[in-house]
Amino acid sequence: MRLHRVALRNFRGVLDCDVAFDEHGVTVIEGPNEAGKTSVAEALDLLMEFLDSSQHRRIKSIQPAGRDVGPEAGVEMSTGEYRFVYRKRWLRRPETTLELTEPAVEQVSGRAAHERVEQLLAETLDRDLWDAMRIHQGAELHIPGFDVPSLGRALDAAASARPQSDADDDLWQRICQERDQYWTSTGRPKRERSTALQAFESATAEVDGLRSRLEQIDQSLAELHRLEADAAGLNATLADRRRTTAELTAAWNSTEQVRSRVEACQASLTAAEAQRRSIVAEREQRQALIDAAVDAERELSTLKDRLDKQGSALAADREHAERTAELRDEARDELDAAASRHRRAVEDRDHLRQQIEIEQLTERRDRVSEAQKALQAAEEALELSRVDDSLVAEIEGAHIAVQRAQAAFDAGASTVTTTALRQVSLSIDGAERSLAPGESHHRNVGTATRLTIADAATVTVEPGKGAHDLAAELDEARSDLRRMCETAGVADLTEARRAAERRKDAQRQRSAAADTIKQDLRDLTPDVLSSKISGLNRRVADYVAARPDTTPMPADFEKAKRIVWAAEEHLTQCQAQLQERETAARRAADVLNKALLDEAGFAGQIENAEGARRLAQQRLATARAERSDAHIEGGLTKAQGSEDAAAKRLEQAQSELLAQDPRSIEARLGNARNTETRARRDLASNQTQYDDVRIRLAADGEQGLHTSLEEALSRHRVRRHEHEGLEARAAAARLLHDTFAHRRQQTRMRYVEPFKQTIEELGRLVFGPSLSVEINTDLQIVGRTLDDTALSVDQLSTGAVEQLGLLARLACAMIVSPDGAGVPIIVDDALGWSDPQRLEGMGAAIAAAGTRCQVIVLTCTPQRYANVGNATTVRLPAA
Amino acid sequence: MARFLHTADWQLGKAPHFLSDEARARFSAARVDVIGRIGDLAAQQYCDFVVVCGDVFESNSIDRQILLRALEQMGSVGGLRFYLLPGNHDPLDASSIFESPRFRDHCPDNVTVLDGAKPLEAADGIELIAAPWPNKRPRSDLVADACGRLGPSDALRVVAGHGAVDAMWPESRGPELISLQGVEAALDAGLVHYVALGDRHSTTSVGETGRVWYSGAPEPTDFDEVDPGNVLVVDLDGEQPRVEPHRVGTWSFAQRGMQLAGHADIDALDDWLGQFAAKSLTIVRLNLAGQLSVSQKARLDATLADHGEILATLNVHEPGSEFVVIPDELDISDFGLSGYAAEALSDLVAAARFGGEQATDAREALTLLYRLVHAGGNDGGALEVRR
Repeated sequence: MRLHRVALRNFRGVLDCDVAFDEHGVTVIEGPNEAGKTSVAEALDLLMEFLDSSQHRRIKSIQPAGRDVGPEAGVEMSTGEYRFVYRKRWLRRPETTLELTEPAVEQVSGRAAHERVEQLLAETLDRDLWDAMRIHQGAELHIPGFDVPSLGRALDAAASARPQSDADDDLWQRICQERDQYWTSTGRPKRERSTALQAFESATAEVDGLRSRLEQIDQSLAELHRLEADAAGLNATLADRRRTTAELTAAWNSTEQVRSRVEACQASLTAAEAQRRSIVAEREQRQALIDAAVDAERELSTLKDRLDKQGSALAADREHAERTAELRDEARDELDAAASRHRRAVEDRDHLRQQIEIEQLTERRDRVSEAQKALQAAEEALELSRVDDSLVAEIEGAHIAVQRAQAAFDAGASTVTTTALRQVSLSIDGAERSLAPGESHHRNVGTATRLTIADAATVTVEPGKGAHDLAAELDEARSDLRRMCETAGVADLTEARRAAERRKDAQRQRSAAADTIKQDLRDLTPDVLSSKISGLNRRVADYVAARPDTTPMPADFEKAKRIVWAAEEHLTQCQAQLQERETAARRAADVLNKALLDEAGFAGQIENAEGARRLAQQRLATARAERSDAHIEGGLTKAQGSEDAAAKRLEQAQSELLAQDPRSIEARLGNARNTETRARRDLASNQTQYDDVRIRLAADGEQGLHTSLEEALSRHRVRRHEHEGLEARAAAARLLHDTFAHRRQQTRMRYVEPFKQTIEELGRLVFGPSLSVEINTDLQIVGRTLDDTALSVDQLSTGAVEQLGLLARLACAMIVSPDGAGVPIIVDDALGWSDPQRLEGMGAAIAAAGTRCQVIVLTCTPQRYANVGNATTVRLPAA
Repeated sequence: MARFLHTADWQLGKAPHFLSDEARARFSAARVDVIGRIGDLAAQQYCDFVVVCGDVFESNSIDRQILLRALEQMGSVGGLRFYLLPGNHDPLDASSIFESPRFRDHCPDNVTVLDGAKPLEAADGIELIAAPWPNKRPRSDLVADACGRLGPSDALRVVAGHGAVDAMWPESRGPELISLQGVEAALDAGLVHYVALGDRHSTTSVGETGRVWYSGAPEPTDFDEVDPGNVLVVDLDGEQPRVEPHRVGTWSFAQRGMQLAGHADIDALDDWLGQFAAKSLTIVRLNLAGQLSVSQKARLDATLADHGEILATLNVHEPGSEFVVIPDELDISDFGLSGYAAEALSDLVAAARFGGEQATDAREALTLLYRLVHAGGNDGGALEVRR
């Protein structure tokens, strides 16, 4: 495809523009922004894509703003064997015209024109290539893959010298689609196949289930057959057992008589044995009575002997008990005396301690009384003088202020010195004074001072203002001092200091007195102290009055304490002695009591033993009176004889019965009856099972299982067919795909090489002679090696990616175009990221490509493409 | 003299699973419908009764609906008595359909089950001697047993039996085989006068007497039957009986083995499949062998698919490796491929010719490729291929 001209009218900002292209080289279209460069490229798309009646937003967007006109675009191009001019106007008075000039002249308009162009392009233009050859302004930079039919064909032709057709690509698509029907992208079976397999398996399971149920019917029939045979056998067994039972019953009946006799003999033997056992028991009873009488006699005699021995021991015990009791009583009296002495000693000691306490308390009371007086005196002194240290300090301050004021006054005030020449009387401000001759009188003058000299003259001295102020300040200081002294009740500072000293002394005395009171009173009040003293005096007097004179009062408290200690020791000894003797007395009393109890017990026992002996003798006598010992012995002998005879008779009868073997007959009869019962039971069970099977069969018969099986088999056949068919088709589709994919890959690897070579030829103009590129099977550049440094495309700079992208397009166009199958490369303001050196190289590469294909460059920066040597330049005016 | 209709092997409920659902439904219905035609024929021919000699039902476990429709069909032929003999498919065992409540509850008055208890007067002067199957594996010749119990009689006696006659299957050894000699002895002795048999689905006269017959099945049931689809109208008097077959069947089975080597064979096959009169009632089985190219196989598939649509069922059997698809040079050029596609095609052709495990897949792949290349042609989906 070649573009010859593009014309735009009323197309967005472009009023009228007609651009002619170099058919076999590079055309650089220059123009400032918004001059319509991009519109030239866009117009081609709109012409091919949209009908003149279209209201698409892309069409509406080219309507010039504010003008009621329809945008128009036209192109003159060659494609395949066709050359034509194709124009469209949209939105206002829409129109489409086509003027074909080659291979034959033809004019078409309207929709037919649009369809005719579509047909021409479909026939001659590789749309994928057309899209791949465009670099749009501002589009994201990338290196395109050139897996497009035109390049594929061209490269295939270059590699194998054989053309490749669109049909091959269609076929490959169909093969892929076919494979995708059965396999997922990860090579697993698709749902349809697993569903078919499941359906097949479930149909198989259904058939198996139904077959099994039908086999169950056959088994049930076999079971019925077996049960019928078993029933016949059981009936025969039952009849046989019945016969045996009857025979054995007859044999059993014939042993019945002998068995009766054995039973009678057995009964008489039992009776004889009972008779003998009864007499034996009576003899044993008699012997027991005799033994009891003898035992009672012996017991009585033993007890009497023991009683005699017991009497002498009892007397000794009693004497010992009496002696120990006397000793205990003595100890008790001794203890009482010791306790009495101890009590007296304690009371004496306490009495003496109370006397000491009275003395001590009296001393404390006197000290308190003294201290209270001193305290009162101190309080009074304090009350009288309030001059404390702080007041003294204030007075001292005032005194110093007066002195300072005085000094200032003395220094600053006028001084009037009057020196008498003779004795004169002076009156200074009314104060009379006389001066002897030569005597002087000085006076500092702070205020107006009138000096009258003996009626001779009156001198009035008016001090200046400074002297006047100093005098006033001195008066004020003095007045302050005076006021403070008055407040303190003193005349001056010295007196104030003395008064403060006196106050401190009073405070010290008050504190000492308070301490004394606190120490001596402790927790008491003076009244309580006094009452305690009087209480103690009373008790001391009472004790002296009441104390007996049996023992003298100890001389002092210490002696009294020693007496108490001695009394306590003696008392403890007496207590221990009493305890010891009491224990001995208690033991002796216990021994005596026990002996007394034993004596009483023996007497009871002897009485009982005498009663028992009497009773035993009475019973024996009564029994013998009833039946004598000899009579019993005779009866026993007779009974033993009867028993022996009965036993012999029984033995004879039993021998007779044994000879007839009744046990065997009985066992056989029992077994025969059991066997018969068992046969009857088995027969009933057989019948139950038979009925069960028949019921089951009847139920199964109603199910129509055979018909169900036929239907299930049919489903099974269909499912198997579907499943196997699907699997066969899947295997075939995969094999077909894999075989094609393998060969396709091989071919691509072959024809990557010429593409790579072309890119490298162009690229060496830009990157230098060491350039090589790596191309994948999608014909996309994936790596670049420069000076032995290999980088993947992701690692390259934006500029390098842009340059390689354009180089790849140029290479593709160069390979494709010689067959006439190519399309122009349209570059809309690319290479914005390239430095001047690379721009120079790219210019050379574009120029080189331009010798074999049509290149159209749209740019607003013409210097970028200044290096394209053989370019034709078209300048668009500003819009 | 009496006239009756002798039939057998109705096998009601039979519906071979190799039929499609649609064909199975029609096939099953046809077996019930034929009862109506039998009734009509019996009326036309003034038959006194119809005796069905065994295998009335395909199984004792058939669907209730079929049973009820069959009973309804028999009941609708008023005035004509049907005698039904239990055979090996529907023996009179504990699971017998004849003793089931559903049969007893719906059995019309004109239907009698031949339980073999005693001779039965089927018409004036005609006694039916029945030899029903008591179970699936009888231990004796049931017909001989039935005849052995007979004494002299003035009536004409018809024996109703079921099973194989020893003279026709000399290699068989089962105790239940019917002894032709015994039957003919009873005929000679005048104890019986006609032996009506079932089991063989082809209409057949057994022995030389002309008195022992298999009526055949009224509708065919399988590919190996010689002359099915008939019933017999029998005239019986003291003399030689007159037995006349009448066609009542509508369905047919056909099978053929074919060697295929090229388009001429496919043409022949096409002709053969086109010659059936009632195609929708014809079940065809083909056993194919030989070798075809991919394009020939595609044509064969299309041909079979066309006939398969019309016939009741067309089953194609390709046993083992006897039938193979091998692409020839013509095929390869017919694909019209070039470049890598042509190389891939060669790979597949080599794999298909070489054999081995992948050969089958390779042939299928070639067929698929052929279809994809000639997209829009036969999609191969309608044809049933049994492997």
